[in-house]
Amino acid sequence: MFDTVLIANRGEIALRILRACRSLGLKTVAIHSEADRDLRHVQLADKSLCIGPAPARDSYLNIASILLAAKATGAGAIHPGYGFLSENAGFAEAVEKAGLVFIGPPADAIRTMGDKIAAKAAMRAAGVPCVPGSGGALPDEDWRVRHIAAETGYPLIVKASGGGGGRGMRIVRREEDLAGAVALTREEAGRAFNNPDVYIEMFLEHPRHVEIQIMADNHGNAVMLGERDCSMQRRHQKVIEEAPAPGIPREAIERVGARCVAACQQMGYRGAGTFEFLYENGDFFFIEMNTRVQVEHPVTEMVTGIDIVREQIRIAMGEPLSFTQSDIAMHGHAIECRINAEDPFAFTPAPGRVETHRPPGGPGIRLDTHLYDGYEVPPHYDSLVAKLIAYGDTRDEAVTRMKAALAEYEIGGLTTNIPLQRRLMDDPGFRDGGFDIHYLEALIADGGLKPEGGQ
Amino acid sequence: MTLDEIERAIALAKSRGLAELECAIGQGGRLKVIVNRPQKPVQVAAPKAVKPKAAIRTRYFGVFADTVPAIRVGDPVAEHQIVGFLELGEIRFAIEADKPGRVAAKPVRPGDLVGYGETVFEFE
Repeated sequence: MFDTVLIANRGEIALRILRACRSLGLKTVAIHSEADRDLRHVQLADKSLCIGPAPARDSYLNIASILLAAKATGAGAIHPGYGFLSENAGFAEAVEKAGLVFIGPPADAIRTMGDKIAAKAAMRAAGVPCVPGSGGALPDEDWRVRHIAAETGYPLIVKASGGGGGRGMRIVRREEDLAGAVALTREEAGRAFNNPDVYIEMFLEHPRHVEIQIMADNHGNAVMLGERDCSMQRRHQKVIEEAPAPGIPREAIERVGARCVAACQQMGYRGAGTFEFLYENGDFFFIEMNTRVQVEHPVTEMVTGIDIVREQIRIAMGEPLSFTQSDIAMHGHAIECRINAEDPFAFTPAPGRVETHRPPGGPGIRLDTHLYDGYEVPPHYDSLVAKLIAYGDTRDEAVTRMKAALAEYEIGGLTTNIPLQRRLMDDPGFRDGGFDIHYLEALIADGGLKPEGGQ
Repeated sequence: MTLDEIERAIALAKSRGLAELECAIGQGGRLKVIVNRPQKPVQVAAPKAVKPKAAIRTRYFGVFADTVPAIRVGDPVAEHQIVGFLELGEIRFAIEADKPGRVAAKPVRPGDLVGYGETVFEFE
């Protein structure tokens, strides 16, 4: 079994992984790019090695380099964190082929979940509720398309199989618009994605983003760690996450969670995983599964008391889960604000030097960050620089503590979205909870979020 | 020693521009005077464009190995000359000088694990 873990990531999650390794008495190797010599976890790791220049493709995404670095430093396992190579089935496979342990699920589980249509088919087979729709590519005949659309129900959305990120889709509200929308989306998809296949799904007007955290080991055990509500989003990027999801009955969560657990057992899943759902009018609809640790895992850790990253590593060591489903109870409420180095209202990235870092504190406050006085945020990577987490017995208490912590938090010299987070804590829609995934964008569009001082 | 003697020693140190004065005084006594000068405003050095010394940096990472014979400090190096190797398992990368020069420093030793972009030779 391994005694040294190579951390194939950077920033706050690299530091988080290093801490989990230390709690298990494992040694750490930090690999980094030329732009990341000053990262906190690089300073703390037992060994560090610069493996390439700043662009991620030459460093954090370079599979051959990372494997060679593991050999050169004597690492026996690789933790991929989130982003970068964390959901790359080819990487997971290459790690295992090199005789190392990949801290994550088996490569084929990553591969299946990475393919949208295959993922949904696997979920349907396991009884996980999916968005009603055509399932696969639409047939050519109009009458058959009309038939599928009638079964799905209106409004519906026509999507390009090769599309993604909001591209190649069209909403249809009435049957008379269907044929035209399908033809147009097909033509666009053929041109833009070289794949004219389109499919249809029921269109949800006001969905919330609710996700289920699971953990599974190599011994057939799988446990559900409750849900997170990540509906506060801008352009599919989560801004605030919380656990539990306000106003959703526990029985509903437990029902859908049990289906997720069953799906994990059916596909031989291992490690941490998240089932993402849209939630509307009391129904859950599966969107995708993330086969890695999520950015927002701390809110689950706060309400369940489980150290998810530590558990991931223990599972990779071949140990059984250190808890059973009956040990898991959600206590209190946790909220996470993502702190990004970006303009709080224009959302443009703002890398730069941190002159002074004055972290907040007090009961129920947790800060996951790699920032320190004098640290320079490089321009090459994601703008997430800190995750501020507030815990309370109730949602109100968590919000109150978060407000105080945001007021205290000072990152001198760096432009961050802390002012936006302060505004959101006071927003009536946020205070009520249960808003949909379009809420923040609508707030921005309405001009409801002006900089402080009200220009 | 008297107060007068101490004052004279201080005056002497100041008049000669000394920072510290230590002397034998009286019967086997020693006196040390440290002059506390008013602090001069810190001169902010105009940010001189520090010319980076010519150096050979790695373009990969691995365990450093010398050539045979090894390149030492003081040796002249020709353009494109192989000056060392980076070893990674069965792979061996040659480190080449991209310009000629004379070696002023060699901050790595054989067996060191060297990262990408690290200086392995500095030139005079």
